[in-house]
Parts: sequence; C-alpha cells; structure tokens
Amino acid sequence: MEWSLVVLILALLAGLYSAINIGANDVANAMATSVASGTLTIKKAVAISATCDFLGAVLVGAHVVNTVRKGLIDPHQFADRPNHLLFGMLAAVVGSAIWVNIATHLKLPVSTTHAIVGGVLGFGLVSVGVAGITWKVVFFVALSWIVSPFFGGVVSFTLFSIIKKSILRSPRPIEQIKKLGPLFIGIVFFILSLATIYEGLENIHLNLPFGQAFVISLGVGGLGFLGGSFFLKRYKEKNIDPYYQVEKMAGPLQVLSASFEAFSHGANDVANSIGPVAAIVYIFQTHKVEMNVPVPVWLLFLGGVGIAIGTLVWGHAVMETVGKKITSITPTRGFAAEFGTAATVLLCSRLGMPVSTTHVCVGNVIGVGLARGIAAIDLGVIRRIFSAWIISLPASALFSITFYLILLRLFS
Amino acid sequence: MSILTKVFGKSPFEPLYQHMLKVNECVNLVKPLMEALLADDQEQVEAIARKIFKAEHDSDIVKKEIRNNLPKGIFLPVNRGDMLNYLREQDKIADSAEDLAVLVTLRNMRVPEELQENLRILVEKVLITCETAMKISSEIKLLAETSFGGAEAEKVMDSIEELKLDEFEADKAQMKLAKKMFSIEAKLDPVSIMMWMHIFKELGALANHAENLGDNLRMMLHKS
Repeated sequence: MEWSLVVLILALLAGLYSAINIGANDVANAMATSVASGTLTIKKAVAISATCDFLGAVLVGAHVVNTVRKGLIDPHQFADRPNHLLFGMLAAVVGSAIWVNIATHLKLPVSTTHAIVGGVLGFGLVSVGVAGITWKVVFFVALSWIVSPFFGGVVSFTLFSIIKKSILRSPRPIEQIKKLGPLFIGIVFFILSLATIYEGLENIHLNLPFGQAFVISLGVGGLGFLGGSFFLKRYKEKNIDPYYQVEKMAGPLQVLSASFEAFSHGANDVANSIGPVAAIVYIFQTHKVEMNVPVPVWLLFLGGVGIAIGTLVWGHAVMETVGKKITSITPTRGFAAEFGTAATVLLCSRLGMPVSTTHVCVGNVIGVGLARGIAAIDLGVIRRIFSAWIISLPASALFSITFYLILLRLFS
Repeated sequence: MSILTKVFGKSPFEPLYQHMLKVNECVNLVKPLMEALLADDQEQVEAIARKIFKAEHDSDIVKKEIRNNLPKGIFLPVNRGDMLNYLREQDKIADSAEDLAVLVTLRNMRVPEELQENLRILVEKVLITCETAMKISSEIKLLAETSFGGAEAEKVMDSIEELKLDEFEADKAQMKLAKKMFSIEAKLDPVSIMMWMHIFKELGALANHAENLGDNLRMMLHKS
C-alpha cells in the first residue's frame, strides 16, 4: 500500500498547514485586548499565547478530536473499504483549509470549526449518503454553535455585573479589588485545573475521578488565591484617579484569563486541523476501522506545534493590527469577556463539542456590552457571522467533495 | 482579519470629551469678550470674537465626527438618543457663545454706565453655570469606566443639582439687568434697546443650555 503512505504524508502536511493557519488567525482573539490595554508587550503576548495554546491542545485536545474523527460519520461503514475513509478525511482537511484561505482573502469572518465540520459532512454525503451520517451528532454540534456564544455571553454578563457592582461602583474601588481580585484568580485556577484533570489527561495517565480532581483543584485554586493576594497587597496607591488604578491592577487578571482562553482555544481548535488526520493515521497503522482507540499524543503534539508555529510567526503582525483597533476594552472588561470565553470553550471541549472560539468570544464581548461595559459595539457583526456561517458549511463541503472525487479517481 | 476587530465600534466617549474641551474654549472666551465690551475696546472685542468663531467651528467638526460614528446598529452603554441630545445641547453652548460674539461685533455697542455692574453680575452668574456644566461633562470618560453608575455617578448627580441653582441665579441676574435697562430707557435709543435685549437673551441662553446639558446627562445616567 505505497499510495497510502503518500496519503498519510499529505494528510500530516495538510493537518500541520491548517494548524499553522489556525494559530496565525486566532492568536489575536485571546491576547489582543491585553496588548491594546498596554498590559502586555506584543512579544510577551505571542509567547504566552503559543505556550498556552500548545498545552491546551496536548492536554485536553483529544475529546473534540474524537467527535470530528468518528462522531459525525460512523467509521464502521467503511469497514470493507478503509481507503475511502482515508481519501475522504484527507479531502476534508485539504478542502476546508483551502476554503478558509479563500474566505480570508475575501475578508469573510469564517470559522475553521465550521469549515472542518462542513468538509467531513461533504465527503460523507457522497460516500455513505444522507443515511450514513450521524445526524444526531451533527445536530448537537450545530446546536452548540448557537448555544455557546449565548452561554458565554451570560457568563461574562454576570461576571462583569459583579465586577461593576462590587468594584467599579463602590466608593472605594481600590480596596475592593484588593479584596476580590485574589478570589477571581482562585476561581480561574480552580476551574482550569478541574476541567483539565477530571477524567482528562488520558494521554499522560492523569485521569482522576471527580472527588480527587475536585480536591486537587481546590488546592490549586487556593494557591492562586494566596499568590493573588500577595501581589495585590503590595500595590501602593498613586495619586491618580482610582478607576485608572483599578484597571492597572486588573491587568494581571486579564493576562491570566487571556492565557486561560488561549489554553481552551488549543484544546478546542486542535481538532480542526488534526481531527480527520487522526482517522487517517489510525487506518494507516492498523488497516482496520475501529471505534475506540485513543488519539495518539504525538498527533496532538503535532497539532499543538503547528498552532504554536502559526502564532509565533504571524502572531506579531496580527496582534499589532487587532490591538490597535480595539483600544476601547479595558482590563476589567477584558477579564470578564476572556474568562467567559475560556470557561465556555473548555466546557464544550470536554463535552466533545467543536465550537467556534471566535464566535464564543464575540458572544462574550456582547455579554459585557449588555452589562454596559463597552463603549460601542457594532451589532452588524452578528449578521456578518451568520452569513459567513451559512456560506461556510456548503462551500467547505463542496471543496471536500471535489477533492474526494479526484482522490478516488487517482488512487482506485 | 479577525472578526473581533469588527465587534468593537469606535468609542464615542473620548470624542465627546474632546468636544467638551472645544466648547469649553468658547466658554472661557466669553469673559474676556464681555470685559473688552465693558472697557469699550472694540478692537479687542473683534479679536476675541474671531477666536470664538474658530473654536466653535472646531467643535462642530468634532460633533460631526461623533455623529458619523454612531450608526443605528451600534450598541452603546447608554441610550443613543440621549447621547445625541447631550451632544446637541453641549454644542448649543458653543453656538450661543458664537451668537453672542456676532451680536457684540455687529454694531459698536457702548455699555451705559448704569448697566455696567448688573452686566458684570450676569456674565459672572452665566459663566458659573457654564463652568459647572463643563466640569460635569469632563467626567464623561470616568462615567463610561464605571458604566454610568455607582459613586462616580452620584457625584455627578449632585453637581447637576447644583447646576439648577446656578441657572436660577443667572435667570434672576438677567431679569434685574433688563429691568435696570428699562429704568433708563429714555436715555437709550430704540436700536440699542433691541440689541441689548438680544445680548441679554443670548447670555441667558448660555446658562439655559448648560442646565439642559446637565439634564441630558442625567437622562443617560438614569437608564442603569
């Protein structure tokens, strides 16, 4: 089966290519607000972003990879013709990558998540037909695309309302942030570690049951609390308006939530590049089609490295343009929006839902806006997102179908 | 490019602050203008009037820019209509200053000896009102930071109350001045009387717009 080696290498390259694309495109989502508010330099933002994204991909990425790999189409249908699944998955990666590239040129706000799901569905429709697709999973994925930005919006709305009432509108905002800041930090650490270690980390055999995971996460949260109060206590009041000082103090909080967001981005979006590749690798290794095999760590690693490369190489330029445009968001707002995004995306990743991190992020920004936190929000963006959504699925599916048919001609 | 950049519209609060600075320039020129008039220094009156025209023109440019950046689809932390009313009222302060400058340059107006003191009082009262309004308006960025509520908003609300008293004082001074003028009406020619009435009215208008500015800001705050 020499041609299958060719397919494998092509698939790995395509996966890496799309991971790099993802890294380059989405890098700004998490960190641009920190750059805009002057809390981080672009260099630091890029470095933190690449590291956290990579960790998220390797540590938590497997759940979503599985949905893309075998959730949308039951691979058993290809038991007698595994190479068709091989071609199909390759077509899905290449097709969606090309569509995302074209869309980026056309300045359409497409999501790589929608593109890859569209790609997998596309070749599925021509190879196993309408009946062969697990519509229940497709339905839940589509539902999660609608629900996740709303859910995130509710989280950030609530969080910003709390910050507003307890800190910004208090007569003594600086004392309040010294009191509450550590609590926020503790909560971020708690949720992050719980989401990571509770039945996660299969790959490094650290999948703990709920009780243990909960206790350890409480400990990690406690450490975050102590660390936070140590640093915030040392802050000395300056002779400028207290609100500007509060924003300055919230800077590190924002960096923390931004790192959290980059982590969850890695966990969720790594599947967009290597989900289909994982299926190809498995067939190549075993010549069989089976359901329950873990996603190889080295593949998550490859995806993580790709995202990190994309971030490191193109992050600087993207961050600069995006950062300049969104100066209207301050650290307290950034914290609320980023925390909401990160928590939502991580939750969805753990449920195996490939959501669009960008759309969740937009939902969260609007959530903060509804709590009267943002100077101006262009609601036209919702229309643009919906139209890109509608175009992206069929367009990506068409590219995938075309490649699938070409590959079938070439190799069989 | 990331859709994230498209979510954020241009913040209107920094330009609103810039607009306030330009209007404040006009307000600050009213006192020297009237001093020059009282000193019967027509050259100086015209020089200051030109400065007011320039500042008013600048404030118009900022106003237009703010309006152009507030399309209907934009979502703000305050009611869009309330914000536009606030901007309009702030701009009217500059307009009134300009109209006043026009009135005093149209014709060589000499302030009769009997009216000097009352006119000084009126100018002082009007300017106190305007300065309070400008001080309130300069808080707009901090109000946005606290999302229009809490301690900062309460402070502003108190100043708005103060504004009402200031405007009332200006009204009283305007009435006294008018009465004073009519008490010496025999000495004045009808054209002068007409011109003075216009000038007094324009001074009063400055204070009125300042008061309305406070009311409009209150409207923005109330919807929290």
